[in-house]
Amino acid sequence: MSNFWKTAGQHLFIWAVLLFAFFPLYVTFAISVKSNKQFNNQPFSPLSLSGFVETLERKPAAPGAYDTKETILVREALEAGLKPGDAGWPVVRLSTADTWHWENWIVAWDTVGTYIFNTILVAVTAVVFALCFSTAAAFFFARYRMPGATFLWYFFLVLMLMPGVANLVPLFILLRDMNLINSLLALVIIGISGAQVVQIFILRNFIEEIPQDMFDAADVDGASPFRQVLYIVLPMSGSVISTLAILQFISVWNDFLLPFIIIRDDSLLTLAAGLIKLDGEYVKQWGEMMAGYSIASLPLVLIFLFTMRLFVRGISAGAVKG
Amino acid sequence: MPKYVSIKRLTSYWRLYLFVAPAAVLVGIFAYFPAASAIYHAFFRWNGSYVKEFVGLYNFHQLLGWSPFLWLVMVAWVVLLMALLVGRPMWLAGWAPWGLLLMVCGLGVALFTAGTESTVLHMNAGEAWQWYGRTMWATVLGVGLHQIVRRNWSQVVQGVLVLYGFLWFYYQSMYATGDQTLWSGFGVIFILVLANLVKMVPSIATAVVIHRLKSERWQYIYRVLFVVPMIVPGMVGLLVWKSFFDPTQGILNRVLLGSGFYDVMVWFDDLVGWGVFHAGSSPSWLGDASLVIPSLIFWGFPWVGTVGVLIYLTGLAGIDESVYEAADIAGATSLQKFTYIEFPLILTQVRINLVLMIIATLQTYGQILILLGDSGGPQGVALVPGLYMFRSAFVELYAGKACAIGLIVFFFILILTEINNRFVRVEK
Repeated sequence: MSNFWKTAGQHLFIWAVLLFAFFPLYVTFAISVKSNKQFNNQPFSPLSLSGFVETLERKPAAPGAYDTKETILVREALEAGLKPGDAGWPVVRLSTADTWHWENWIVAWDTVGTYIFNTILVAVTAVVFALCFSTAAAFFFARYRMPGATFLWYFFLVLMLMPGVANLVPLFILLRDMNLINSLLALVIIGISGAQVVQIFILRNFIEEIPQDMFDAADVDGASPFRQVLYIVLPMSGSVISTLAILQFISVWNDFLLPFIIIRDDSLLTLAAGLIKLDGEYVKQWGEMMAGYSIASLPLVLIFLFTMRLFVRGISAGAVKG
Repeated sequence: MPKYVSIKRLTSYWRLYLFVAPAAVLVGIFAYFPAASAIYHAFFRWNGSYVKEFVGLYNFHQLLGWSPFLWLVMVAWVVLLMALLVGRPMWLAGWAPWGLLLMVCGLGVALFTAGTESTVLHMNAGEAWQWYGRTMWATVLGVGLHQIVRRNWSQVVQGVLVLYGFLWFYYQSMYATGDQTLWSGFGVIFILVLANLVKMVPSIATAVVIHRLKSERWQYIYRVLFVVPMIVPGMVGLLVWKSFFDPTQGILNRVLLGSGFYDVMVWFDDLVGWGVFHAGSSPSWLGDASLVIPSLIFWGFPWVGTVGVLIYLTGLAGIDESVYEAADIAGATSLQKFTYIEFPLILTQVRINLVLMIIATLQTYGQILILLGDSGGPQGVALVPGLYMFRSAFVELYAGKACAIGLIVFFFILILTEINNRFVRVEK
């Protein structure tokens, strides 16, 4: 009996912690389908499910409408030169206190969509090139002892001790002198070079554990080092490489300081830096803002769903080693 | 075994360098060059572009303070160091007694600087020379004392003594002339480190509780569930919390005012006399100078870093079931199980996390930049050194000063890393 209560207590504790941990996520979603009016009335309680079903009653939009969707439609109609009562004047769904305002998501997508596209472009390019370079370098260190290899190894290793804080200002100046300000290329390059050290470190350990006989056999067969990387290293270290890829993808996805400093154009901003911009607007549309945050979170959650095992293992292993 | 390639065979193997070349070139240009540039430009008055003038240690004097006494100590130390580095090998080689060399070097350098720098120090050459003598004797005495201490006391006592002595010396001689903003920033960092120390507890507690569950299936479910909040981009978490702190529409104030808990806080405030919470007005968490730091600490409640939980779980996975059974037979309470079985096993991870946390906290400023803007909140109460650097470089356009701040922070991190390497050994 006491055992039952003990187990129940443990579960209760974990659920309490989870409840708090998930609360911001829940609130983000709950607000993302509310209009400002609804948000002011009830900030975080969910809208009732009855409002989820489309209300069929429709009416012409009022010119000074406060709801998000109406505001946009009215603005567009006014820009098209229409007046209330004209034939093309928008007719909107009559929104009640319970209506779910999914149009917040559409509005948010208009801004966040570009950011997401930019971020995916930067992240994928950076991850692919970073892993190509670091696999090659790790192979160099794991398989051969070339003259100067030890020096090069410490050349990389010392960087692990070097904190990034002092580098930021000269890095900005360097990028400016290279005419890389306001370009996604800079983010890609910094993404590649920033990931090298940790990746080389982990991949070298891994490649050293591949049986060396395989490389010797490949040498006898006359396979060049490049072919050895392609046909031995890559197939055998697939899991490590994919784990590293995911970790780097997340870090590029989250990085905001560099894009915040070097990107000037709104259309080139990456996600994290773009969200800051979304937050900084003077009159806050809470629903749209939260919808933007929700959209920003979704891609990573989707990736997570498909690569759950890699994730859990990668975080446990990578964090201990790194 | 890796293949050894001798220099003679490089003609057929040189292409292998192409494997490491891209990584090395990128790291060289985008990591080493900025670092070198930071060190170089810390000695310049520099606005990032056309204004560039060598000013020596001026930036450091502005930040850390300046005293003639320090100048003397520095010269004396340089002299001693020279004597040691040059004189000792010569003495060992049987060339000359190194004490003599010390005297000669010291005399030369001291005379030279006393002649040239006496105007800077506002004293005549004779006075300066007397001070050199005293400083040098004090240093020799200090080194000698340290030798005695080193033989007899533990390293921890030595460390504390050296640190305390250094701080006392610094506070007495230079603190008042230094940049108070920088030091108050380090003060904020100190508070944040203490807070982060406390914030490590929920992760450990959660990991232990998950580990103690009997059901493997639930363990896996909880592990996956705890990853989900981490998947959410950090920026989203940060901005959502920023919206929570909003004084009029934020969730936090709505909950506090709606539930009546705010009245309790006001009552408690009256009792203690803080004067922070007033009845009839809602607290502006990020806009009130006395509430900014507490808000920064409270941010991210309940502070279960997923990475932390997963790392601790990996550490705990090594405990065999039989250990628990033995503990049960011996009648151990669950607290005893924690202190004697579980905590020692995750000690390695706790130490690593602790060190990484302190180093990360020292250079933190991104979150504060987002939450409070580049001025560091009302009255700049949260202007941590990193943010001060950012502000100097990109708002005030003192890039040279920014580099100097970066180097000072770097220096602190270096000391911490060294302490970590020496005292906190990690058994692999």
